[in-house]
Amino acid sequence: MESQKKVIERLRAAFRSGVTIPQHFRLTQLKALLSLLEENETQILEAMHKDLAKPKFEAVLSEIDLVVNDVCFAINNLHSWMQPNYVGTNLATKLDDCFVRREPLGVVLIIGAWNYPLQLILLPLIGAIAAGNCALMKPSEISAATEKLLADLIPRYLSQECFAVMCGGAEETKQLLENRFDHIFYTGSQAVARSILQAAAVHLTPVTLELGGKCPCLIYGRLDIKAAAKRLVWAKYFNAGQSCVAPDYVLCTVEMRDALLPAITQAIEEFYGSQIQKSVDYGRIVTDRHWDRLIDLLGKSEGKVVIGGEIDKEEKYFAPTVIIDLQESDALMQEEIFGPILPIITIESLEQGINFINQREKPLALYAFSDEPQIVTTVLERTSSGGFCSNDGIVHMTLPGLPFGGVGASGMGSYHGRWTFETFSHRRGCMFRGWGLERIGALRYPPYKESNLSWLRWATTAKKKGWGECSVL
Amino acid sequence: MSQEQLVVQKARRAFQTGRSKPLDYRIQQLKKLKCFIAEKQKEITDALKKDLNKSENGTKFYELLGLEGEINLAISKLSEWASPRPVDKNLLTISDEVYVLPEPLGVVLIIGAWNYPFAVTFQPLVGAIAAGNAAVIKPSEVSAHTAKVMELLPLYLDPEMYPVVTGGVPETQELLKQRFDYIFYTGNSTVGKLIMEAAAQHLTPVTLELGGKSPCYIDKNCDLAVACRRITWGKYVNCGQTCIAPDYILCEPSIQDKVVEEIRKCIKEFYTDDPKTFTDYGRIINQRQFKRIMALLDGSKVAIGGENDESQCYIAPTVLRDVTPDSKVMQEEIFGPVLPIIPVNGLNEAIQFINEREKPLALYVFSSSNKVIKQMIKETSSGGLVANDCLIHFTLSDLPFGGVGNSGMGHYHGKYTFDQLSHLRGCLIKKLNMERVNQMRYPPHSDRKLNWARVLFLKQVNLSRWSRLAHAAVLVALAAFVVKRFLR
Repeated sequence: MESQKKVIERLRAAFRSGVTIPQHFRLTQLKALLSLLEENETQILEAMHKDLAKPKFEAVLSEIDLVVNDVCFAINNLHSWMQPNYVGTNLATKLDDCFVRREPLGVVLIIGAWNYPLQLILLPLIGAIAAGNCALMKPSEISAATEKLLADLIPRYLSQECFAVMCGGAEETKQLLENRFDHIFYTGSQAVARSILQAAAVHLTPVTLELGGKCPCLIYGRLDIKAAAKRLVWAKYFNAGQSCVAPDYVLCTVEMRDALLPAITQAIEEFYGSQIQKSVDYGRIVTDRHWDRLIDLLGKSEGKVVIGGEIDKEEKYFAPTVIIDLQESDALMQEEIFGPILPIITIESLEQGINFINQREKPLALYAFSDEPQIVTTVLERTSSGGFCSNDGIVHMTLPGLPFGGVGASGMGSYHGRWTFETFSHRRGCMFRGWGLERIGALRYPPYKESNLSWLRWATTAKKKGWGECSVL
Repeated sequence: MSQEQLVVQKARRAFQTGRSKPLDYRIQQLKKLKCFIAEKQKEITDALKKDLNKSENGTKFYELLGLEGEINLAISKLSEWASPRPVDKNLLTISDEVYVLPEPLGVVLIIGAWNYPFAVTFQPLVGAIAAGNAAVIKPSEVSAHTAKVMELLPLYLDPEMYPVVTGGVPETQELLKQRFDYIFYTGNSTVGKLIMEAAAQHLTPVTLELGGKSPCYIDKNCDLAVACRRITWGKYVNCGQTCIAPDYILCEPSIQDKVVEEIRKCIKEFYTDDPKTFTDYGRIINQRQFKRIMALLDGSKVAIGGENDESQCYIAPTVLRDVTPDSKVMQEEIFGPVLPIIPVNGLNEAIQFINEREKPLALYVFSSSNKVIKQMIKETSSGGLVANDCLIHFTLSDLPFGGVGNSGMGHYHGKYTFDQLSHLRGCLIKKLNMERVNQMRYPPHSDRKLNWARVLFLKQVNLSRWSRLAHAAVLVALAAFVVKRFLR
């Protein structure tokens, strides 16, 4: 087993050699990643089934296909992403070339999580490769089968000089963080994120933190209850509720709640049948420890379970559960649930619902269900969250054009599609000055004259149109 | 409760009222900022004269000109910057609205520096206001007179929303204990690390505009006269106290003498024979910095200048020659009017020299050969790069200004400041209809369903192609109609 330091040195030497810079290399690696996914679909599904009893459908869509899609997106767009952006000049710089160049950062560290063990390592990796970096991946040890599979597959498909997988737990991660990286990409919890930021501060390393929080789901006004219930149930119990963007809790009026409950019951039955534990389409809790945590939370709660509640410790099975009559101070409202328990909190007005949301930390995702566009707009404008989706859940993260990330306590930075490429790039502002126009240039030299100042003011504000704008996307 | 705690709490309450969100408010505040600079110009130039011996015109040029430009740009572009930015959809979301919506972050802390106190403290403020945030402004206490003038800001701007907090290290530390939604810091790497560590407590994102030793390579193949003019200007502006000043020169031994002579000529042209009495030559900010810079000269050969006067914090425009990499002057950012020349044998050695060191904030390369410039740009990394000039990239609002590695993280100017101090929120606005299509993703699952879902969910849609197809279809239908109706 190569020591951490040796691995990092190897990656750094590879980066210094310049091998990751050419477009051809990046494309080759991305295509290799594509092959990895296409040729090992069965093993990947098996590993995720072992780790999370992930239903095949979920694993295919949310892990394999999502990543395949993003790799293809990167392959198709890499050439244009790598081009410099020419920017507008003013009169004083009229004969110059001014542009923004995207350059790799160096050696980046990607720390994954256990709930979507493939996606959370590979999606950042795509951008890291596309941007020309070397990368060290640290998958979560909790999803052990996927961790092992990644450690086995990555070196077989990608350049071993430039990309490495490091296994291990909290102790190994802590040691890893003592080293210097050029960017750290972390998906996980707020508590750990703080120590990551502190470790990064020592080396002035920029970070992306994809954290979580309690994603509220506000259901209000006129609405197609059946459709809403289906989408809500789908999003909530996907991966047995273990998604950072799962609707954590619902806010609605008493009448709405009473109308929703039978619709939710019906949707659950339609999806998972009457014997949910036997359905192959319903997942399990990842470890005994996590399962115990959920039992504990439910035990401490003062609400009333109206749907579900059945459990089976041996299988780490936890039925799709809905709980009502909770207060704000309830145990279930103090932390991110990250499981198949859906509290429904009743409100008396939209205003009250919005205030409830705003009194809490900014979530990673915010959902508003309503057939009234004005209500959706009001919720959107009066709140803040990483991302926002109306009348559905989770699906906004499948669009590579949207930046996926948190704000405030739910994280910093974003990725997916081109956003990952930008995350792992340095945007270098460049100016190639001509030797001419020295007469205008001379206006800036001392002795400073008032008249020169006026000329300069004019020359530096007149913009040359039509050069195209520099933008993130 | 401490004074700092109170101020931040007030700013947060002001932000929570929502009054900084409407674009009208932001534009009004930006216009008031412009007024402040225009009406208090005398106070500002006086203060900068006292702090850094900046001449009146020097201040107008280096501090205020750029700032005015940024304010005007923000005012004219705000509605564009703040509008939703549509993005590509997939087949399943084809009838939905998909866009990125810029939103304010909340309360931003701006910590300024003393070398261009107005430019580096207020330019981030322009972006903070434009993005709809509240901002707590902490000017550097080192440029004490300027800080005093900045305290007048609340007379113009919304005082609760944009308070100015003055003070030294204890006040800054107290501020850093509070929770902010963003911290924008300009200064040095050592303090930068402390800021990031403090920010870690609250998971606050940061922009750190730091510094470093910005190298300046002079190729033997270039117009040395013009090159040395631009370098001399870039180096001795503000007495070398510029984060992007060319810190040291790398050039071949064969041209070192000529470089020295050209710089000597330019120094005389710009600052006369006696820079000490010349109004457009500055001073070192204080005695501590003066002593630090003078100590750096130890062990190196002075080719030009070296004269100094501690009582005035005056150091003449100085050039050192035949400097070695291990000399004192090469161990830290100079941030003063001392320009070491290090002889190297050509471009490759220069690139190696640069790459052995921390990534700088700026990199300068002077050459008539595009090949040389391209090689320099490809084989090095730096915050920004200018070929054949110095400093000037700072003035272009369309270029992102910021460091990389040890020279910083994040960037600003123009729209970049706006984006940096905004949250770019991904939004998907769907309706509850078209539920039949959604059936594909619901359990129970079959392989057939899976195959459909794989197509619908994830394939990207090129909308323009669809609209082209749609147009084509309409044309074909029209043609068919015409033929049928009129052209039997």
